[in-house]
Amino acid sequence: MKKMTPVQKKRIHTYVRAGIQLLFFILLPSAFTTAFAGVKYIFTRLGVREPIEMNSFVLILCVLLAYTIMFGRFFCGYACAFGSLGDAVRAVYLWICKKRKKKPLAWKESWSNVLVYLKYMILFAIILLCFLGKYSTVRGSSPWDVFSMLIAGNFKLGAYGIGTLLLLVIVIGMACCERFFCRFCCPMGAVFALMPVLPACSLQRTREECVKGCSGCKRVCPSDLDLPEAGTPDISGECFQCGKCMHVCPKQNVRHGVIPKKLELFFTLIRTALLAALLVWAGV
Amino acid sequence: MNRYWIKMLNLVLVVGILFAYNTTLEHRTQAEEIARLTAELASSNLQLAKYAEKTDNRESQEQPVESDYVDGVYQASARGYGGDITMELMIEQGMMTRLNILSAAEEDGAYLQMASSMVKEILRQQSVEVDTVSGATYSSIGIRDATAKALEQAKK
Repeated sequence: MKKMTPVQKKRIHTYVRAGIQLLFFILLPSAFTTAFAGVKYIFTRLGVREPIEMNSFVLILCVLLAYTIMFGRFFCGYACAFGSLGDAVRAVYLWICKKRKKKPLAWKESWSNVLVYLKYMILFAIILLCFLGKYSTVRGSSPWDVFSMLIAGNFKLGAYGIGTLLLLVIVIGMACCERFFCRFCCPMGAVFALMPVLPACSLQRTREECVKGCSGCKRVCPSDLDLPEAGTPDISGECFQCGKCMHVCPKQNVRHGVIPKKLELFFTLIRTALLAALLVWAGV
Repeated sequence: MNRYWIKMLNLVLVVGILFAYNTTLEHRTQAEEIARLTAELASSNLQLAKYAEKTDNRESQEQPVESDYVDGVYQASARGYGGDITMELMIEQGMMTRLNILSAAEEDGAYLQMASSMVKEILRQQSVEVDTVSGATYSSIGIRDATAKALEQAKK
């Protein structure tokens, strides 16, 4: 077989990722809300001093957390319907900018450094409301609910005024900054970011081999991350395992832990199949 | 490196606390159950003694229960989360004896499974006025409304 050039590899990776995202979007669009329903359920039960049963919500939550500890936030990068919506909105915005020969709005990294903590506050607020049994009072303000209803073809959004407004704001944010919602607002992302990720399969680099002064991987990263040194578990909870850094690196110095470079595409497909099988088994 | 171990420790702690919490509650409910059964046993012994005294002058109390519903099998649909949920309700001797989810193609699996605990509750309480399952409100409402419609058909 002829050896592929880096550009071809990058293109294939982009298409494969978009394809996987589309499949998950169509087939399992509710996985992210179901997992978060598990979080809400646990704190609601704690609030009323009732035992936590292993129901379908909790099972899906446990499955996704275990998967994240093993492979990093692959779910966020490839399978979450809301994340995919963000990527699509961003891609459309960039395409429009290109067509109209305008520069996309600049986003300052200093904003991100502050906003990154917002999601933990949102998570804390939601679990506190659940714990106090007051969650139902803010039901109409969840942009996720509005989104889920829209994909389910339910357009009775009368009681969801605040939620619809928030969804609009989020979509604008998604256009201005890649992975806006995932990085700054997503309460499920906050839970994922708190998980320890095993270094065996997560993205890392061998610093010594880098081109001096190159920061390609950091610039292409939707979360502006510095990759961890190979073999160390310093992987950031903000990494979506999107793999863009692998293909921008001029020395092909970025890799998934112990996975050989040649098997990279295969590894992506394996992770996808495993994730899909787990979700279906858990009953999404 | 440090951050990784802190996260690991936190995770172990959270899981440990949740397990401890569940075990404690289980022990408590067991203790309560034992206390309740003991009390029940004592009172039923007492009643048994009384019943033995009165048993001569007592007529059979088994009369058919008065009911507003005609026996049969009824079906009805109502809007759930993504589409219609169809329920099948069987009424025997004026009581709801069986309730099945016939179809709910547009519901998400996990949510429907959570909401299906309503079925047992409706049969137990013999009423559709049961609490919806939190987190699966739409599917719950679909099950409840469809059952209510089926019950409406069964009215005399």
